[in-house]
Amino acid sequence: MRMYVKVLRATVLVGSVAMVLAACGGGGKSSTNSSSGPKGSSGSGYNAAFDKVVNPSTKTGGTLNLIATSDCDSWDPQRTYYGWCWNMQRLFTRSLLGYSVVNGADFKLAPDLATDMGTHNADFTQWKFTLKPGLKFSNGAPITAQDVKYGIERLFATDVINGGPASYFINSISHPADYKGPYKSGDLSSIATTGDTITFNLSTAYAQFPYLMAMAASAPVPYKTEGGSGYVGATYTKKPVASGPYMIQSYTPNTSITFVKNPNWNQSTDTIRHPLVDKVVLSIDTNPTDADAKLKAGSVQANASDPGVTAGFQTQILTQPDLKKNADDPVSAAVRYLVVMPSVITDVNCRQAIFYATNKPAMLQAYGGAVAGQVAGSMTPPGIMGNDPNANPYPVGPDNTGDLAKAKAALQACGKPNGFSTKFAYATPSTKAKQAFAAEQEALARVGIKLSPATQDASSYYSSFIGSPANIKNQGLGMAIAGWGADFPSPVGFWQAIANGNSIVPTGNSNYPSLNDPVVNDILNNGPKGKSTEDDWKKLDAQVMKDAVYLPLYWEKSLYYRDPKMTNVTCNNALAFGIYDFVNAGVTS
Amino acid sequence: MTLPQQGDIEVVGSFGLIQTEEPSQKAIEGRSLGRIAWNRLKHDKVAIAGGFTVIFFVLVAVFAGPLCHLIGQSATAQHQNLTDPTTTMPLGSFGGMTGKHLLGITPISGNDILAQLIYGARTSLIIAGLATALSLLFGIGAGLIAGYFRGWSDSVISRTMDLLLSFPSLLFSIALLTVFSIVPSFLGLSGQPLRFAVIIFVLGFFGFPYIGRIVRGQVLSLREKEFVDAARSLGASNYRIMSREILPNLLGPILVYTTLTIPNYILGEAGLSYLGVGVLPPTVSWGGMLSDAGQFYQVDPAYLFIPGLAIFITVLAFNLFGDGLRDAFDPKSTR
Amino acid sequence: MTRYVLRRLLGAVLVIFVVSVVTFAIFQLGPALSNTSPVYYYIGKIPFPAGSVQLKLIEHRFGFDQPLWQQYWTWLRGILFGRKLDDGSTFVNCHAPCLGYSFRLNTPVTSLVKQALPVSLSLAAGAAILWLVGGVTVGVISALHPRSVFDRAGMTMALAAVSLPIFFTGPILILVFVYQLKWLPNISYVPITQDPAQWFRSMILPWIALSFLFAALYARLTRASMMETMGEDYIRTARAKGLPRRKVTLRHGLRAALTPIVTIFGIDVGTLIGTTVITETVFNLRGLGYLSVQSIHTQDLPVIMGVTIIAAIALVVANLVVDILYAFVDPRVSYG
Repeated sequence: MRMYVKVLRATVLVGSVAMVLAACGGGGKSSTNSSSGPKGSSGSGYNAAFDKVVNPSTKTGGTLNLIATSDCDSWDPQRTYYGWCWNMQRLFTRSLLGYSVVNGADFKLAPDLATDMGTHNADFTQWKFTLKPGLKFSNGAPITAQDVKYGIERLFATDVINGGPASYFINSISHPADYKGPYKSGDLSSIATTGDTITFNLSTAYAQFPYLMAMAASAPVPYKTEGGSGYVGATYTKKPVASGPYMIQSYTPNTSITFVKNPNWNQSTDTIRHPLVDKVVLSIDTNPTDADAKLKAGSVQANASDPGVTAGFQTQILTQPDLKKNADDPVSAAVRYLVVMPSVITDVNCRQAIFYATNKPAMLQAYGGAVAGQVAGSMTPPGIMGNDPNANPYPVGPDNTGDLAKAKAALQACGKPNGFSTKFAYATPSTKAKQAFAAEQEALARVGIKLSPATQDASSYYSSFIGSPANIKNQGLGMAIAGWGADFPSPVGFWQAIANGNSIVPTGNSNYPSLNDPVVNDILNNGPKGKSTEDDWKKLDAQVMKDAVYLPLYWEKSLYYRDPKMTNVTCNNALAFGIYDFVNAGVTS
Repeated sequence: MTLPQQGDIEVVGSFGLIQTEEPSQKAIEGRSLGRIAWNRLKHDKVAIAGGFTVIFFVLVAVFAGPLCHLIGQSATAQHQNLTDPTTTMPLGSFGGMTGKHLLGITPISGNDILAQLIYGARTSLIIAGLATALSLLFGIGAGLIAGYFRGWSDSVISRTMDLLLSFPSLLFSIALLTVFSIVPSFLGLSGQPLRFAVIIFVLGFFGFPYIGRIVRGQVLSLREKEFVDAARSLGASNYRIMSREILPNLLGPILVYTTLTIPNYILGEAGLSYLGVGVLPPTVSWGGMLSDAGQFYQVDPAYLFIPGLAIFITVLAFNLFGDGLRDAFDPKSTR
Repeated sequence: MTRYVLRRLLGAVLVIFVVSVVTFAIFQLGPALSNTSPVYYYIGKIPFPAGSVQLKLIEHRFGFDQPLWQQYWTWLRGILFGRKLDDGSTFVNCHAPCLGYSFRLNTPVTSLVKQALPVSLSLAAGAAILWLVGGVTVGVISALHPRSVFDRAGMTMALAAVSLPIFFTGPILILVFVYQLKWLPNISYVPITQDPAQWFRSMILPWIALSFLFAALYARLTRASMMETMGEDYIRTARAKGLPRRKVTLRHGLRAALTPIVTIFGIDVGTLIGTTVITETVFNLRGLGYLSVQSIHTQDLPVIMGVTIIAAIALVVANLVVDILYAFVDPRVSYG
C-alpha cells in the first residue's frame, strides 16, 4: 500500500487478478463528469470536506502555500510511493485515466489523457487506449503513445527507477523474463503503439488494469530525452517534465518546491482538474510543531504531508470550536488489524478467544483516540466494495471492549480453559505500536492469555519479520500488529496480497497468516475474469473473519486542518488518506 | 576530580582522559583508610543525605511489588475510562491526579504514574547496577594486568582502551540494539532478558576503559611500594600479590568510581529508552516514560515532570554521595 | 618531534579504519543472521521475489552481489580515490572522499552530510562557546573564593546540572520559553547565511540545553584545576615577591589552570560532531546525529558509515590536535 507514516506500508504484489471496475462495468464505457470543480455538494464545518466541497469558489489567481514535514520520497512519477506525494503528482502529471471523484467513499475513475476508459478483449488480457488530440508536455513537445509506453517501461528498470509501485506493472504486463527496462534492454514489444493508440498485452487476465493506468506511475515521460541532458533516469526526480496543469518552477531538495501554471496544458483536454491558483508553493519544515503553528496562523493553507497534526494542536482543535470547524477527520480506505497466526495458534477456538477478549477502543486509543479511527467489526474499510459497516461476526459488547464470557467459552472449546502464552510482534521505534501492545496484553490477560513482546525495526518488520512465514513459525509469533490500505480502491487491490493463498512468498510476504482458504481463493481468482460481485466480496470478508486470522481493530482516520482562506476544499480519500485535493483548490485574497 | 561521563549519552569521551593524571595517588595509607574515610563521611551532611536517598531508591526498587500493592495500583493496569476519548489526555487537572492516583495517570493508556515510577526504579537499578558491575569486571581486570605486568600486555590493553574511547559509542549502542532486535535468541537468551543483556553490555562495555585507566594508574604506583616488594621477596605469586596486596588497596577508588558510574548508567539507560531502543514493554523505564511524555508535554506537562524529577533526584543523590565519598577517601581534600 | 607526530597520525588512521570495519560488520549481522537478501533490510519497500530479475538488478546496483570484503573495499576506495557512482542509467563522478549512495533516499551520502553538517556545527559551536565562558567563569570565581556562598551555590548547581538529562531539560525549556512566556518561536533550523537573526533564535534553546551539562562539568573542572594551581610554589613565590593578587591570579594562575581545560575542550567539541543525537531529536534539528539515528533505523548502511566515519574523524583529529599542541606547550611531555 501507499507509504503512510502511520500505516507502515508493504507493497502489494499482484499475482493475477481483477474484477469489474465500479466505473467501467464490463466494457469501455466512459464515465464523464463534465461539471467544473470538485464533485459533490458544498458544506462547511467539522469534517465537511470528507465528502463535500468546503468554500466552493471559481475565483482564480493567488498562491496556494503548503507545508510538509518531509520531502517526497521522489518527484519522479514512477518512483514515488507516499500517498501524499501521489496527491502532489496530481498537480503536474497526468496519466491515461484519473480519478474524477476522490472524496467521500465512492471514488470514480474517468478518462484523463485517454479519450475513454479503454477497451479490453473478452478475457481481460489485452487493453487498448486512445490518446486525446492536442496534448503537450510543459516543454512544448506533444505527448505521444510512445511517451506513455516509455514511462511504464521505466518501472522495469528497478536498478534505476526504484521505490515506486512497480510490482503491479511487472506482474501484469507480459515481458521477457530478462527484460531490464529501457536503459538496458530497450523497448518492450508487448506494449504496442500506433499513432495515438496504445495496446497493453498482459501476462494474465486483469480487469483491474484501469486502476494501474490511473496511478502516477503510468504518467508519460518524454521518450529517451526525459528531463533533458543530465536529467535522465535516476536524476529525473530533479526535473520531471509536466503533463498536468502545473509545472515545477524551482525545486530545492528538502527545502521547497514551487509550481506555476503550465502554459502548454489545455483545460479543454482535462475534465478532472480545474486549477484556480497561479502558483503552488510547498515548503518543507521538519519541525511538526512549527508547521502546525504556521497552519494555525494562516501563513500556509494546509499541511500536504501526513500524518496530520501533532498531539498538541490536535487537543486545541478538538477543544476550540473556532478551530474545530476548520478541521476534517476523514476515514480512509485502510484498516489497522491484528494478525493471529494459524501456524502458531493452530486451534481456531483459541484464535477466536483472542477475538473476543480484545479491547478495540483501547487499541484505537493507543493510536491516537477517536479521531484516529473508527472501530471496525469487519476487515473491508469504507471506500472498498464489500464494506459493510454493520458486519460484526465477533461482537464484543456494546462498547467493543470485549466479551469475556465468550472468550472463556472459546478457550474451553480449545482445551485451554486457563489461557495460554504467545508472542506479539510489533515494529519499533513507534511508541504507538508499543502502547498498542501494552493495551492488548492488558486486555488478553483478563482471560489468562499472556503476551510477550517480539519487536523488529520498522525498516524490515513487514518485509522479513512478519513478512517471512518461516520466521513467524520459528520465533513462534502468535500475533502481529499490521496496517493495510490498498494502493487503489478496489477489493482486489485490497484483498489479493493479504488473503490469496497464491500470493504467499517466503520473504516480503503480505499474507502474514499464510491464509489459504479455497473459498477465499476462488473469489479472488474469479476477479480477473470480471466475475466477482459485491455479494462475493461480502462473502469473502465473512469467510476471512470465520477463519479467525485477521482481527480488524479500526478503519483509519486522520485529523487535518484547513486554513479558512483555502477554497474548493475536499479530501482526497482515494489516493492520499484524506489529505486535501490541492489541484482544484483556490485561495481568497 | 570530575566524574567520568560515559553513561551520559551526549557526553562521551574525554573526562576519563584526565583521570589518569589526577587520581589521588596519595590515598594509600594502609588498611585503616576505610575507617578514616567513614569518619570523614559521617560529618558530610550533604553526602549522608544523598546516601539515604540512594538507599531509599534501592529499597523502592527491591520492594516494588509490595509497594504497589500498598498503594493499590499496578504499573500495567490501564484506566482508559479516566482519559478523554477524543484527546486521549487524562481527565482532571495536573495529569489526572486524584486520591487514588496520587501522581496522576499517563495519557492514552491511563496507567498509574506512581506505580510506573516505582517499577521504573527497578529497571534503572538492575541495568545501571549490572552494567557497572560489568565495567568493573572488565576495567579492574584490564587495569590490573596492564599496570602490573606492563610491557607488551600494557601496550595492547592501553591501545585497545584508547581505541574504544574513540568509538562513537552511542551510535554503536543504538546500532547493536537495533541489530539484536532481529536475532530471536542469543546465548540462550531471548526477548526481554536478551534486550536487558544487550543494554547492560553496551553500557558496561563501552564504559570499562574509564575504570581500566584509573586502575592501571593506581597499580603502576602501587607495584613499586615496599609492601609489594616485601611480598615478592617472600616468594608470593603474581596472582597472590595482585589479589591480596594490590586489590585491597584499590577498594577506595573503586567504591568512588562505582557510586559515580551508576548514575551515569541510569542516564544512559534512560537515553536509550528515550531514543526508542530501550527495554521492551510492559517493563517500565523512566526514560521510556519521558519518551512518551515528550509527545504530550505541551498538553500534559505533569507527565513530563514526574519521571524527569525522579531521574534528576536519583542521579543527583548518587552524585552527592559519590562526591562525598571521594572527598572522604582523599586526604588532600579541603572539605 | 616529527616522529611523534607521524606516529600519532598513524594511530589516528588506524582508529578510523577499525571504526569503519566494525560499523560495516555490525550491519552485516541482520541479513546474515536471518539468511535473507540485504535488499529486504535496506530497501524494504520492494518485495520482488527472490531470484527475480528485478531483485538481482537492485542487488547489483548496491553491490550486494559482491563478496563482503569487496563491498567494503569499494566503499573505502571511494573515500581514498573517489569512484564512479552507478545511479543506474548514468555514471556520476564522485570525487574523493566519496561516501557512496544512500540505499533509501536515492541521494549521494555526501549531499546528505552537506545538509546536516551546518546544523551540527552550529549546535556544537554555539554550545561550546556558552559552556566554556559560563563554566570557566563560575569555576574561577568559585576557586578564588572557596567555601563562599557563591562557591557552594555554584558547585551545588553544577552537580545538579550534570544530573539532568537533556530530554528532560530540553522540553522544559521549550515549555517555558516557547509556550508559556512566548519569548521564542518554536522554529526549525534557519541557515546563518540566510538570516543570522533567525538562525540565532532557532538555535538558542538547543545551545542552552546542551551547554548546561558541559558548563557544569567545566565549572567543577576549572575550580579544581585553579585551586591546585593557586597552591603551587611559583604562585606563592610570585605573591611573596609582592605582585598584586589580581595580576598573579590572571597572569600566572589562570594560564596554568586553563591549560588542561583547553585540552579537554578541544576533545569535547570533536566528540560532539555526529553524536548530539538526543539534542537534535528533542529540538527537531536535522543534523548529523538525527541523520545517523534515522539511518540506523532504516538500516541505510552507506549513510551510517558516512556519519560514523565523520564522527570518528572529528574525535580523532581533535585528540591529535590537542596532543600535538600540548607537546609544544608543555615541555614535560616526552615524544618517546
